[in-house]
Amino acid sequence: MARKNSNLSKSIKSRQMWAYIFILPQAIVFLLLSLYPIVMSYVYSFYSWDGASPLTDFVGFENYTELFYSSRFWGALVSTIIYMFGTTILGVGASLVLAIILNANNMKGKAFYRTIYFIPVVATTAIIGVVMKNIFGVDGSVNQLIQSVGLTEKPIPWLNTSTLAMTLLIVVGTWKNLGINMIYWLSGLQSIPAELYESAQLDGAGFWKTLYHITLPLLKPILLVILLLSVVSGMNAFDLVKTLTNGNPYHTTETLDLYVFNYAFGGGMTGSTTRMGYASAAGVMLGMFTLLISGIFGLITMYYQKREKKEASR
Amino acid sequence: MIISSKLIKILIHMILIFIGLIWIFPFIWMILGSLKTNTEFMISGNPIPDGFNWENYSRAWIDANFSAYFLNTVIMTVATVIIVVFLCSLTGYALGRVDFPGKKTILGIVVGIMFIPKGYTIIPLYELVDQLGLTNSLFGIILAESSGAHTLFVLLFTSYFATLPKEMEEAAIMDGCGFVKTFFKVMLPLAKPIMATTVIMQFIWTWSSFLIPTVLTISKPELRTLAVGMQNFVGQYSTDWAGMAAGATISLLPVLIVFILMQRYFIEGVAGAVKQ
Amino acid sequence: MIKSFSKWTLLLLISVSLLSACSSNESSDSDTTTLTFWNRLPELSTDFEAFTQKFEEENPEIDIEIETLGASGNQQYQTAIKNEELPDIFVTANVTSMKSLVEQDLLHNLNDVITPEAKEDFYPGVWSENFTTIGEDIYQLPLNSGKSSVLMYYNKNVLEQYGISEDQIPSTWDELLKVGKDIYDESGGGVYGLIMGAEATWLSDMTINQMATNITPDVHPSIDVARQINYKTGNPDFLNDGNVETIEYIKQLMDENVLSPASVEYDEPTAIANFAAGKSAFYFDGNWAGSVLVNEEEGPGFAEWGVAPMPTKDGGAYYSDMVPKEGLMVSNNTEHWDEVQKFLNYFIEHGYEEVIIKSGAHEPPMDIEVSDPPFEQYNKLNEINAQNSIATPSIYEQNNKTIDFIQNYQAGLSYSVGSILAGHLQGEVSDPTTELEKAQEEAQKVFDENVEKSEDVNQSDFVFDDWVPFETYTTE
Repeated sequence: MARKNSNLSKSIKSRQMWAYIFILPQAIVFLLLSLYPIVMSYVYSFYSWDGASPLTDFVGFENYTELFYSSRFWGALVSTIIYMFGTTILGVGASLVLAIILNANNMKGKAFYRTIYFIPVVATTAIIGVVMKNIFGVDGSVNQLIQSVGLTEKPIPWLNTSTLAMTLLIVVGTWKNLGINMIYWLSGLQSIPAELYESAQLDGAGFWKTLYHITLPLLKPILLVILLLSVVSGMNAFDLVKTLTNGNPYHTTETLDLYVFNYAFGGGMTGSTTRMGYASAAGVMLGMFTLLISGIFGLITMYYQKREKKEASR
Repeated sequence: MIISSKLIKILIHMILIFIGLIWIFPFIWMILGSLKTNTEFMISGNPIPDGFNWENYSRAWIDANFSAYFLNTVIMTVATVIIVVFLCSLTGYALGRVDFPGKKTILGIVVGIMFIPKGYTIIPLYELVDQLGLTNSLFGIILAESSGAHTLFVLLFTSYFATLPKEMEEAAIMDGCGFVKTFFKVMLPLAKPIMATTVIMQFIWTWSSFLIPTVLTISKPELRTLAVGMQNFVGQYSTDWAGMAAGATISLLPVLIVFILMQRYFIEGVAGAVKQ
Repeated sequence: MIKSFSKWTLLLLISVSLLSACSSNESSDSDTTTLTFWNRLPELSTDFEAFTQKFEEENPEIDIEIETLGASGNQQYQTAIKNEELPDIFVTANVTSMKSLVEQDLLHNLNDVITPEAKEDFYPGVWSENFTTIGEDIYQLPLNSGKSSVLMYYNKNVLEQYGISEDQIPSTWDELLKVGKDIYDESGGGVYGLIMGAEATWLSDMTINQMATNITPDVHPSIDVARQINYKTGNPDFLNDGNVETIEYIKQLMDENVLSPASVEYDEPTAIANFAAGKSAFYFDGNWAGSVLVNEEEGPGFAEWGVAPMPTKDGGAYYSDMVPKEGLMVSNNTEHWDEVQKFLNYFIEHGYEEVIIKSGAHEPPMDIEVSDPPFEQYNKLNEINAQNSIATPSIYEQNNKTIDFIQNYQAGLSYSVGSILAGHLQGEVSDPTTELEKAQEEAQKVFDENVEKSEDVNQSDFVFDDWVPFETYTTE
């Protein structure tokens, strides 16, 4: 008996050892190639550094205080948050509708539609930005269409008015990622057991009733995942903003990631010196805000889950 | 769920097709744009080209070196995808099937990593790859591309492996398979849907990844990828728009094909993981 | 799937190892020396390629690997500087000052190439602290004379169509306004008087800066925002009549349908293409734009244009400073100094004719007779450009400690006149004066802080009492 036990514990030990070995490669790659650069970028944020000369000018929190007093930085934060909320709300809702339609058992051509609606996801974001910029330009296709139909006489300055440009960014950003959210929803829908629908049908529940009482409640866990991913990707909008509006008009659509880029590579002004240290500080702040928003978000869901559990136990 | 009325069904199809057309209009616009002359591209809002300038494609493929970039991109993407699948499936298996001290901590770290504030990491990453002596070979780019915590993939694998019945593993052990052999011979093949998910998503990301390959190939133009090569059309003061549209069309196709081929597994994969 | 995966892996491992093997063998088994060369000036790329090819033919033992940098050029320079991997030869980078590169020991001095005798061949104006020289040493072979100003191009076809002869070309603001309105009305809104590439805020910045010198000549125009300083007071000077009036004038042009509303979306090449396509009669751009207009590959290949000075408020002159910003530099880590020297000497002998003049984008830094101008407007363009480009005092010559000062000061600036114009045209900045006030306040604050911080720089370093605007400034 004792022998068997030691054999057992030996085999458990060996399993555990193997588990560590299995995790090791990932851990090495992560520590070396992800964590080290992140830590270094924290270090840079305490230097006044152009990214090219030696790292000698330690300035403490000076970069951070400068950020604190920069109205452009706070403006960029607001733009980022607007973009994040816009794409999240619009994207999560619209993709759910699409997924429900495409999940209907007797829908024909499901695979075809899925592919169509997924195409924007696979396209390179920077290219999308360039294409959309041309389509929505003052003399682009959209303006030509609405002018020829006679909707407006003068072209609509989609890209040159802050509200329109931000709206356009949100719409295009949503369009770009809708396909992936649709897939998440579909996977959630497919994990709902068919028996539930069958019994609902037997009970004589219609489409809307089934949707409200069965489908939506069961999709809650996947909703959480989708929301979280949308929030994180919305906070880090760069490629699209850079190519579609480049922060225009007058920095009103400049997101934090673009702000970081503009300072890191001096793209904002000709001949201006690059400010890697300052940009790193802005990058760290962006990370902090993402953490903060995800944290708030996590707390809210935890609160609701607790409340639900309480209600269920009553 | 079943949508019953025929009329509604037809209506839904019509709406889906109409929206679908608008949905892919930018791509149609791009493909048409790739057949314009460059001047035409810049001055005309009309999406239909005056004539078919196929030479944009030959300019992209030959002059802008897209043939070489294409090969580089394929190698980089495929290698990165394999490495990521490999790393994540190993980690996921260990986390999903073995109880070991520190498991909860590691799981916590995996999730927490997603929210670590990152500053500007590209310069230290370059230095690191440089110190490893890997700049100037595709391997350096592949390694850098494979970095990251892959939170989503690890969690997908973890939850998937956790649900596989114990009996399967036991049967394999009976057959004389050890831990490693069980994993490769029995368990991993069962995780196809998750693999497909990982493959598709990582493929999309790596295929269009821009900053890392740009910086890591600064002194080796022959190692550039398609996304980086796209910049060949954008000068500091001038842009070859038509050539760029042609290049974009060329680089869009492979990802699209991968998706179409794997989409069945893809949805299953995400679904399988979400069930838990 | 697993099977195919392992097949792929194998294939990959093989190809990866092959590739790395290839790259390591490359240099060892050949007799030729390879020089790497980065060019970030697209207007010269075609001619540089032809030139290096010719050089290779005459020097078969040297192979020049030329690369034209695209939009990520700055990142490439940065990484290369940081890792001391600059190519053997490169066109001056925009990311840091020459002085800082020299202090990091990254630049090879060119004293052997540009000997005191050879120096005599160049225009004396091109030897300028922190641009071509540091103290007595030369670090940059100038590509051009440094004469560069914004001009007004006109489309001959459009002028002809609306019956405007070439001596009716506007030289004052009022004239441009009137001509522009006429064209818009007569064309029924299809053609505008003027196009600008106002999305390229650096271009608007130069345009406003130079136009404003007609009104406020004491404020020194410069492509670097930090060097836009009033040389009489020695202070930053954004809030001046020149800037305010020019911005308001351009806004008026747009409100009265003279300036095409699409201008705020146009970057430089798009603006050029639309101007060439006859969407406007006039177009403001730098002296290099002529070479882009006629270029068939990089530009619209358009020949029916002429060039004149930009109109000013009173029709008088405006000026730009003269700085040899672009040149060839050599990495101090080059292992082939002899070959590099050979190339540079070859460039001095042939390059100014075969690259600089042939492209038509710049004026060479030495007196070379142009027997065969690259396009018919070349001489006229250079003539007007030379009138506008006037040697101004150099703060770097006065005190070379100002180099670091300017770099630090520029880093703290977040406004530029060009971006304020774009904001005003788009309606986001309702009152440019308030915005210029903010810019001025910020600039003065950063400027004063830096004066206080630096021990070797005083405000007097930015004051030039003996300077008379519009007159060539010499220290002798």
